[in-house]
Amino acid sequence: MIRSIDGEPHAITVHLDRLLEARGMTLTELADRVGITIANLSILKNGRAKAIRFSTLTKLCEVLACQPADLLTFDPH
Amino acid sequence: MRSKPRNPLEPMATVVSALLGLTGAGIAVTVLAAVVGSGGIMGLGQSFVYVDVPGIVGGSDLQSGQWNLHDGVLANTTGYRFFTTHPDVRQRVWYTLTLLPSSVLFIGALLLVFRLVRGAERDGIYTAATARRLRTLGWFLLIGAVVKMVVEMAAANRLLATMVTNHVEWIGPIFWETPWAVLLTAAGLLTFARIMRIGVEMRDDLQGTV
Repeated sequence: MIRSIDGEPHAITVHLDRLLEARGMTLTELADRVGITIANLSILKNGRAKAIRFSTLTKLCEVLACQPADLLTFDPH
Repeated sequence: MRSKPRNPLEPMATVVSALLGLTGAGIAVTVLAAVVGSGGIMGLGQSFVYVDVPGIVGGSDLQSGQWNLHDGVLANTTGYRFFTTHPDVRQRVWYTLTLLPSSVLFIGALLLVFRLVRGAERDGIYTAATARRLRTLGWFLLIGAVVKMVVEMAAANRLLATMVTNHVEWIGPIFWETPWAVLLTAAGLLTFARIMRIGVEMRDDLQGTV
């Protein structure tokens, strides 16, 4: 089970690594283009975020040319 | 251009620091005066004690101004101040208790506000610790105001009883004075402490939001 920044468990997997690799993009570049800090993007990438704003999700989908479902999946096990 | 944000802890931080300094200096001077014999503090080192009785209400002989004084007790008939220049130990204790609770409440509240401000400067304003310190201050004022009222009233009644031959109740209506302002302030602080605690939880939620 993954745990968010405050230790609360959740079952959402973030596939930023996979998408970055597929697009040939670095975390720093993505952070620049989305307009959030690398620290926050790392928190999201490692599944430690407590929540994601629709505005952040929109920018991520725009920059990575993907759907929210490509970025996030629910994995109960 | 954005103006520099003002410190939200001001003017409280400056006022509390100044008041603490003045109070400390005042206590030091008064204690020194009591020690060298030219003054007194809370009835200690003082050659006389007195009790002020509020205006006549009417009704019982206590409230109608028909005072029967003990030997050695004088009364200022215009102001209803009863005083004796040769107080015994019991009278000194009661006199001290008519003054001490107010000072303890004031100094205690001042120290708690100081702790609140310093803690907020150190740990941050929107923290659980600051909300807890605010709640402690609220309870201290609420309980302290009630205790102060009862103790000072009972002490004033007892001191008066040592000065007059009239029957004086332990807790009577003569000195009853409810500190509404302090009680309302305390209730307000307790409410703000609750609001702050909820705000801290909301802020914690936002901290993990990307």
